[in-house]
Amino acid sequence: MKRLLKADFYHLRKSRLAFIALILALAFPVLVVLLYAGLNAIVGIDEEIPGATLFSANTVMGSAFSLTNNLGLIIPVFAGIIVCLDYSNGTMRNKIIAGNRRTHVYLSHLIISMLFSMAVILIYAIITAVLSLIFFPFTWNEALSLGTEVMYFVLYGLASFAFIATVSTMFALIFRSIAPTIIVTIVFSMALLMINSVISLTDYESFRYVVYFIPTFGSNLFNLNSLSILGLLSQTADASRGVIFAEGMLSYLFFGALHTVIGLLIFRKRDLR
Amino acid sequence: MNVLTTDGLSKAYKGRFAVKNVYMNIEKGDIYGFVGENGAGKTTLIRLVTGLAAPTSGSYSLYDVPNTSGEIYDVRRRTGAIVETATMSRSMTALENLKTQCYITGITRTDEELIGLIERVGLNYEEIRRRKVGRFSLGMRQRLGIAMVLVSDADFIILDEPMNGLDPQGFIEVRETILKLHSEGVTFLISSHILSELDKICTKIGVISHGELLEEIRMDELHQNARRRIVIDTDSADATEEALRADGSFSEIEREGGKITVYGDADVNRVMWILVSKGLWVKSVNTLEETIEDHYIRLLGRGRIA
Repeated sequence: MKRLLKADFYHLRKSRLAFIALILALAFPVLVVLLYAGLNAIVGIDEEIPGATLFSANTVMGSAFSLTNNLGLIIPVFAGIIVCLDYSNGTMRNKIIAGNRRTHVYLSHLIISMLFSMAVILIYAIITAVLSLIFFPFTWNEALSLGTEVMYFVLYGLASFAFIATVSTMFALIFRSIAPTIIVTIVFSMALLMINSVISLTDYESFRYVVYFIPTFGSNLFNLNSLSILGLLSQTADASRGVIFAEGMLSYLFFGALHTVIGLLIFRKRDLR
Repeated sequence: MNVLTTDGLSKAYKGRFAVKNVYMNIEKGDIYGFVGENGAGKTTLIRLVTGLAAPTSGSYSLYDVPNTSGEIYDVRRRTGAIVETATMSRSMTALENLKTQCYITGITRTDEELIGLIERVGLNYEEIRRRKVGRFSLGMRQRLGIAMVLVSDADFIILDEPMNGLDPQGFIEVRETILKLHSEGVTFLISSHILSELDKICTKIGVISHGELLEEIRMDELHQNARRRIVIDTDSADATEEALRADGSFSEIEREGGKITVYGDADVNRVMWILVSKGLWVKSVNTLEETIEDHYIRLLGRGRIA
């Protein structure tokens, strides 16, 4: 397993794909900040009217871990492509012939895809946070612990991308081709976001115990009335936030594990071409 | 010592057998030539024994370890294979691909050792050091594939059509590499259409047709039992054929145009004596020994009839 991780990491390090993703992670925050700044300039800022500032640093930062941002959609696709390339190059065959277990081959791909997704989105989020703090006003609810909230936010954001990586890896191993993997991963992510949006309009507490059955439902619980950090950070201190965070993480864990098991069952039985 | 043994190995796709009930045995030190027409089941069998596909029924053992045992993963590390085409990352250089292969197999090699491997399979490292494998010719990729197999110190190497895409010089280089490694104790399973090449290097052959192994024979046995034939080119084919048949010492006589082929314990002196005594003139008389190709064609004909 260790040697497969080394091989996959080396492959990733040498691939143009990782380089492109890194460039995007560095360039996108600038574009996002410019976009929000442009929108603020168009609408105008009137400090006498509360809430007249359309986009604050909180809003911009909140978008960083969202699947709806451009990079959010691209990253899981990149993760899927890593696996597909191993198929299309035939290098996956080399691993099996060399006596590696299929379970290890799958898990190695999954781990590398997850780490890759999380690393790229983290770079993107950090740069976005720094730029937004420089260019936009930031508000903070003093009743909340900044450290705890940032930890919740970052871990939850990373978990969502790790979860999508499990999905894209599964699709990549099912389709063994880049195009359908990209399409289905995007459609799947969009479908989750739609479910998310619908549920966010309902009474969360009624659905609270369904959290383990609908991926990303946890994010609604966690973010409460908003999908962005703006909503999150404006909440009052509440002991249940830790529980909500844990439930959300469990949701991702459950669905991540589910997709991994499905992918593994398919991959272990499949004849490799 | 048995390196590979199959026991009634079969593989069916949608109810149709690609490999059916194959019993084969490769011993240590063999260069086993696997011969068969396109779609005969050679690659499918190789896929099965390399773990790329699962058998429908039957089993196989590598170094006497059955495929159902957990130890099979350990013995696979002693095996290298190129199945159909050499597989490698096209966006990497040759050296980077070899490094990846080192990671996959868990072998530590220095850059100098890897460059040595590249040179050993006939690639000029200085020429290709910056070139991505995607820009290699098929022959170059095939050679690099062999280098990748050699990374792991495998003592059993499976090559599926290794001569594909190689120029005559490439043929010679690959053949020499195989023979050199064989002399160092490496066992080979080689499938190929190029029977003349197999004839030069194999110690044993297996002939497969329509998924069934028709015959497994050692090359020395094949040569020992090889049918010799005498080919007579003449303008008076009718009279020649009549004279040879009348003599009755030849088991089989075939005629094709002006050429008459005599099989069996044919002695060229006796043939000449018969023809001269009948006052028959010939253009040429050649004694030929049955090649692996002749044997294959004859066997395949028999297999089809059966």
